Amino acid sequence: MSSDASLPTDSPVATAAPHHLKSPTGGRQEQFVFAVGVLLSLGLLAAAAYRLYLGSDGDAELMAAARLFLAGVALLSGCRWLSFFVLSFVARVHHRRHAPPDPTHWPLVSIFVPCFNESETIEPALDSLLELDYPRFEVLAVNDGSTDDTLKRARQYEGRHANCTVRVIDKPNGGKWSAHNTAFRRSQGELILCIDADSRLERSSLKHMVRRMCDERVAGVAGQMRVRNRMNLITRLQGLEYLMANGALRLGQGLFGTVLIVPGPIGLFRRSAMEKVYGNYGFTLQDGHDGRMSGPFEGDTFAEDFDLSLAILCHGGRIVYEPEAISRTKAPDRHFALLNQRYRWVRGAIQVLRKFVRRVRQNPRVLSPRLLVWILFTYVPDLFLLPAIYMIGLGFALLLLANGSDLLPLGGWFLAFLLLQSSAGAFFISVHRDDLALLKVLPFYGPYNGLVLNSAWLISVIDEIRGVRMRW
Amino acid sequence: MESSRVLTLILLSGGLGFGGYCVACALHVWKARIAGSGNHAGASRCTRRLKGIGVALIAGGALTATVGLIVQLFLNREGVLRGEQLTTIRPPETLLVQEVTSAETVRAADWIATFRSPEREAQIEVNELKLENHAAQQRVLRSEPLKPDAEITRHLQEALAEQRHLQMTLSELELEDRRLNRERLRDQLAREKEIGELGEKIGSLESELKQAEADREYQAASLSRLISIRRRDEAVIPDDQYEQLRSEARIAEEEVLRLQESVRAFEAERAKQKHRLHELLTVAEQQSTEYQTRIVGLRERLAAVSQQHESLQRQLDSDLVRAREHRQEQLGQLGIALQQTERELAGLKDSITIRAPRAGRIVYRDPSPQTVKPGEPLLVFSPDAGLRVRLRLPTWEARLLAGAGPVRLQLIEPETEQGKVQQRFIERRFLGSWASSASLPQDRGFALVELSCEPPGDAIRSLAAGDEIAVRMIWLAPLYRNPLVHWGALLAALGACGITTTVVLSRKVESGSHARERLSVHNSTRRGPPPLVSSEDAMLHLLGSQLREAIVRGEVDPSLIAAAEWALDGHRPRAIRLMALGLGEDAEFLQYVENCWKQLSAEEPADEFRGANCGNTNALQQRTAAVLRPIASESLRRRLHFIERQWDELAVSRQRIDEAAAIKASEFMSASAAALRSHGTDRSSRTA
Repeated sequence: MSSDASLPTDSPVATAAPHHLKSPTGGRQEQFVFAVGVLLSLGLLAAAAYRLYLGSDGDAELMAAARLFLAGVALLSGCRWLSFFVLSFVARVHHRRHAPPDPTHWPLVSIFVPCFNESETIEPALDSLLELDYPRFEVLAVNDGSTDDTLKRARQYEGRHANCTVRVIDKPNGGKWSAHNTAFRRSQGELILCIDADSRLERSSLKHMVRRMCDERVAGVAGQMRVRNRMNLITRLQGLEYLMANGALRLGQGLFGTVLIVPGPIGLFRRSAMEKVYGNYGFTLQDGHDGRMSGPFEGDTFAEDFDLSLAILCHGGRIVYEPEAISRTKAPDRHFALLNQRYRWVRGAIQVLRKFVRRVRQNPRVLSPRLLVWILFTYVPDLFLLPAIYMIGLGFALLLLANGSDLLPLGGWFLAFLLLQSSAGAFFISVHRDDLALLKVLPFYGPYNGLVLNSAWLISVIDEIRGVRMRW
Repeated sequence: MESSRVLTLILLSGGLGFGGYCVACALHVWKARIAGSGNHAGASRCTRRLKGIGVALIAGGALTATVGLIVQLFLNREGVLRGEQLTTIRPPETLLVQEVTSAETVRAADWIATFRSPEREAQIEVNELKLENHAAQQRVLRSEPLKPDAEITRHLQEALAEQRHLQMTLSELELEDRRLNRERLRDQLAREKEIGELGEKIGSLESELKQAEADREYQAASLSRLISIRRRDEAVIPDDQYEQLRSEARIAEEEVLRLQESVRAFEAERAKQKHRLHELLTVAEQQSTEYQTRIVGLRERLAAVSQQHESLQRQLDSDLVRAREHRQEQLGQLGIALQQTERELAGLKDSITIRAPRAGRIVYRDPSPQTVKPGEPLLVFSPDAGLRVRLRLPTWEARLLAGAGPVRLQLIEPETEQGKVQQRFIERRFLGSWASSASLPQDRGFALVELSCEPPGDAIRSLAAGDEIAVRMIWLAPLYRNPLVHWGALLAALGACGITTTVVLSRKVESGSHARERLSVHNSTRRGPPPLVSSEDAMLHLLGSQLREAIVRGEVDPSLIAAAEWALDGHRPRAIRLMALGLGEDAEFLQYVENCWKQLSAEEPADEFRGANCGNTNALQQRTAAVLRPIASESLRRRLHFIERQWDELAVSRQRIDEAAAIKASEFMSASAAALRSHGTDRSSRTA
């Protein structure tokens, strides 16, 4: 095995005729929502610029500052959403015009299913995998030291099935990353699909993703995450967030092959790319020691998926987004669980970015301009700007209320934001072919972002600064 | 309660509540994580109590502040608006509104409204005509000359005419006198010049005469001498010469005579001229004397006439003064008539026009002035300071209100006796500014605040009708200025100090070993496992794993074995170490190895291994064993050795069995052949 083999040199996928042809610019609904969104963004930009041009306009100091702050936020928000709209639309058009063809030879795909106390969800997950429309694949369910009967339930599926083989690997608890590494060691597929045990793939998802691998430069494909358990406001808001935040970003990033995070519930990788990552950044461990297993996934961060994706991008691999590949996952339906999850995500993102900075310091060549631009475009707003804006905005609102000021004059801005968010929500729901009923929870999206997520952001940032020990 | 206040309250409480809930959840998660990560420290009873007190203080502070906020939000801020110092203009019954001023502010006596009345308008027109007539008369009177006494004027004109006649006559006489003198002088000069010329001619004639007499004498002497000569000898002097000389003498004589005659003629002429000159001078003297006499007479006459003229002129001047005074009196009369007409006109106009009684602002103007009924307010004035709303506020809010600038006020619709709200005001909100405040001595903690404001038109109309209107102030003092909030903040700060103290105490209690443990845990977390040296290491590690996986699956690939052999050849020490790591060591794997060994033996060797069988194992088995032997652990190596030996023994026994079976088979075959041969005929016939 050559150590310096380039990432996707030996694509196992040969091309055939395109599998489908659709309208390159999407449906009428999508076009209409896109036009409305772009107009709203431009309007918001113009209003913000005009407001900034006018200055304080003789208001009271606090109100004038609030107005200017809102205008600045509107300027940033307008620019951001406008870029999202345009990039997503272009990405859709590009994807439809250059629809990936069906390969003549479908490569073997290894599907990793790490399980830890997933007795309730493992069976439906494996059922959904067995129903996948794909000629040849293997499923490796890794029981990561579960204390319930996950292993027993998974063992029921072990063996050969119609078009796949299910293997169940039992190992001591070592974390999701070690479960992935264990599966990586045991797998044989040239393409590797990582999912969560509580995720359920749609029947055609795997084929959609493998088609994108026809391009030899593509080292990874991110699929669309959907919330399965839309039972309450929190889960619906997460469903909307997955589309408006993650989906929007990935559409834009996918256009440049720079999807920064291949999500844990559905992500397809090329084995050679993972081996190269392991070869460059891997750690040696006594395999099986404390349940940990070395491999391309590393356990020094909370976000092993982000870590792996960034490592692949650092080595020149392209990661694209396939919104047709859908994984229905279970989102936290309780506030505490949600905060825990977001704590891990935010801390994980910070850890991975710090690790990335260390890697760049060691080898500046891994930093490509498009990667730098997208990291700045994504994480400067997400980790710094937006939380700061929400907190400052909240402070302004409280100050204004405490000062006895009337908030009605600022209602226009909030209405504009709400309209823009509505159009963005409608557009990205339309692009991802999700249910438009999600828009019903849109009025709560601002408080959800501003209060719920930022509270998790706050504690995770504090913990990361303090260097509190990681705990899942 | 006002809807905006309810909205504010809902927003504030909802935002704070949800924010507090989120923060509490986050803290809960945080606490759980810190507890799970072992970052918490044991707390003593004292610190727990102190922490409890701190939490209680914070809760008390929050409660106090909340109570303060609720009290402030629910405080009644209603006041009263009265129509004090309002001036209302109402149209009279007999008049109709024609025009109303559009100005916002007016000065005293400024026009503000005009009414209509046909009779008065006719009178106004008549008076305006009179006014024009008087003005025209004034203009005519001013343009007419003054009229003096006619007798005086006539006398004066006569005197003036005589004076002019005398003056003219005098002038003519003086001119004539001067002309006479000039002519006399000119004649005198001409005569004297002529006389002088005659004297000169006489002188020249006398000199010629003298010359002629000398010439005659010379001729006479010459002739006498010639005659004497001739007389002595006639022959000497010819006759012609003599005759010539004689004629010359005669000519000379004649010339003398002629000259003498001329001298005399000229002298006579000169004498004549002198005589004439004398006569002329005499005549001129006489005429001049006559003229002077007449001039003196005329001058005397002229002086008399001038005196008379001056006297008449004085009389005329005095008469003109009288005439001017008379005209002034006439003009004065006309002016008085004019003023009288103007007054009448102004009075008439004032009877249909309203002027501002004082300076102020028009705060209400009926939107349809022409349709205002008599008695209803047409215009309402307010003083420049505006109207006043009086309301009762806490003293601290009153102080803050003084610096708050314009605040919004809202009219409260009155209720009917049936309890229904009347909808009288369309525009309900307006601005007011703090004007004054005074504490209420009998109501401690509260103050009477006056706000100057400009209520909407509907409210002004009601106020002009004498109503009182209730007004609510839509202003909330900054909540952080609330004294109860201050007390709450103080309590919370004390609580926070207490909790901080407990944290500090807890940290001091922490042992150094615990801190070191945390540090070591932290460092180990940060450092992680040792990194690989290079990508080849990872590949070797991975190769070990794949070898294990192939053995576990029982699908040992010759190419995989070849890669392992290549790795062991090229990087033997590292390959052994890293592939061993990837291969792992567990009891389950030993079983897999054994199974794989069996499976390999059953497989048909590939082409490249065909013919390479050595002993009882095939080449793939041997190569797999050769690869596994260096990288396997001791137990696996023993197990492998055992398997090989067992397999060899098994192979030997199998070979023996095969040999025995072959012998038996050959025996059986030979026996069978013999049997077949013996029963060959029967079988062939049965088969056929």
